[in-house]
Amino acid sequence: MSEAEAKKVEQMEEDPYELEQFHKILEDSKILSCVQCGKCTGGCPAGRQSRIRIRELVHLAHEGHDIKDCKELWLCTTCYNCQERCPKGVDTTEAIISLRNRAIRKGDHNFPEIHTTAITSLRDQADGFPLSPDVESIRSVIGLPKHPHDLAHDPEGLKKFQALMDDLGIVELVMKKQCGEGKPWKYVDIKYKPSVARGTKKEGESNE
Amino acid sequence: MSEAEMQETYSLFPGCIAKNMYPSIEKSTYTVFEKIGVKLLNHRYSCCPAPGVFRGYDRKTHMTLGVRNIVMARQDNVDVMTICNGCYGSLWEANEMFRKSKENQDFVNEKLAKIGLSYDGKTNVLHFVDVLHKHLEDVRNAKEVDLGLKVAVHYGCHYLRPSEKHPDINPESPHVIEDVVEALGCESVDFKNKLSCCGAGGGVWSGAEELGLRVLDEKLKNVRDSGADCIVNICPFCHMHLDQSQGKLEERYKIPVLHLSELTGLAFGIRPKHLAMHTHLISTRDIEKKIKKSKKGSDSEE
Ligand code: SF4
Ligand code: SF4
Repeated sequence: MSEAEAKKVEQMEEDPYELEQFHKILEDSKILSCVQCGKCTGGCPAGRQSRIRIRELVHLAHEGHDIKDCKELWLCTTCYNCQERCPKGVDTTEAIISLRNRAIRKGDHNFPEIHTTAITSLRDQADGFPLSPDVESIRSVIGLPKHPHDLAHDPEGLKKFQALMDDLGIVELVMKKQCGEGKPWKYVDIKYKPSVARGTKKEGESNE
Repeated sequence: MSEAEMQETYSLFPGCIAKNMYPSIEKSTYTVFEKIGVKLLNHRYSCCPAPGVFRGYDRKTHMTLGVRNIVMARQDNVDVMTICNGCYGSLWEANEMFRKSKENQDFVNEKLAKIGLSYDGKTNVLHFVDVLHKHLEDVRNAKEVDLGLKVAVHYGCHYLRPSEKHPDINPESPHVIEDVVEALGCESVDFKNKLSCCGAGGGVWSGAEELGLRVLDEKLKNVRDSGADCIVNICPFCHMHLDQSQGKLEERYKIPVLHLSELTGLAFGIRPKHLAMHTHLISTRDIEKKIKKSKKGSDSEE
């Protein structure tokens, strides 16, 4: 996203709470101390392989631009290299995470929809990566209990956990706002996927 | 206090990937810690929850669900020991967010009260490699075979960074995993960008797969150039990406990947068959053969 495309938050945002939150992100992560030295981008493993330029994102936010719809926000591996190396103490990685939170609150449709499988799986079985029958039997063979001693196998505890998740409203926030009202939850078994992605295009460029 | 009560005890936080995808990691953890005299308890844990996705959605939800996990250990008055950088990062941060802010404490405890729980911030969250490191002498004593492998140590991001987690470790030149693998008779080889990311974190593994593969490719190239026999990691999520995603790359690296608990288990004499090492997508056969050779060598010396 170029500077010209990115609208200013001040002009865009009608909700005073959200405007305050945006300024809070700038303040908490010390983005206003940035001197644009570029050290952050220099050590960024994702930047070497994709379009994300952390220095640019910091610059846009610093200038008050609304970057909640930047696809690049979702290309950060949260490795914390940039944050550790910033000579001005800008908490770049924390800023990315806070800006993602903001994007989710605002209903950003660029977020990777496949992530919803993790959230439904967490709600349904208390695990991001659920147990498969194959692994159940391997567990028994090597002398572990077939079912781990976990929340997924404790019906009472699981019910309470689901009540807690519902109280937090996270499923609703993500599923309704990001994926649209009434979209059915789908359960996807996350397994080893067959060979893909042997092409040469860089992540993020395909949608241009 | 009886002797049993005084034994060093932690609550093992296995994490989704170890227990549900690589049971060899969970299994070897039990064996290794039993052999060095550390007791591990089990509690009814949920996913940590996975930081790459859930922290990116909503920090407060992530913190609250993380604290619910910590409360399980708190009820038995033991600290939590994780075997995964993701779990470690999640629970460590949930704990810190809770401890540092009265507002967060009120928020979490109000939510937890509705399901009959509460938290006082007193439980610590540890990473298993730090516990192993503390018991280096016990590790040496429990070792049955000097492995004699050249290993490429992979720290993964969220053990080292943010560096507030380990005030006494230099995040640019740590020497924790290295000490453990050396105690097991391995040589830790140096390679380019050793401390860099595997490419899976931050929701990238699922959300931007191609980027994750590109970062992985770079990592594996550097490991191959080092001449290492295998990669040793301390995080099942890195482990999964390093092991499973290798097959998706054009270049056929076929570099075996071992979690440190597995490597330690093998050095403690557990037979690979008893660990179900075949759950690894990249065969660990060559490693097992080399270890057998080292064992024969050391047996004939005696
Ligand atoms: S390293 Fe810090 S000061 Fe330099 S450009 Fe990046 S955020 Fe700004
Ligand atoms: S935390 Fe994100 S932006 Fe920063 S260096 Fe790592 S991948 Fe790049």
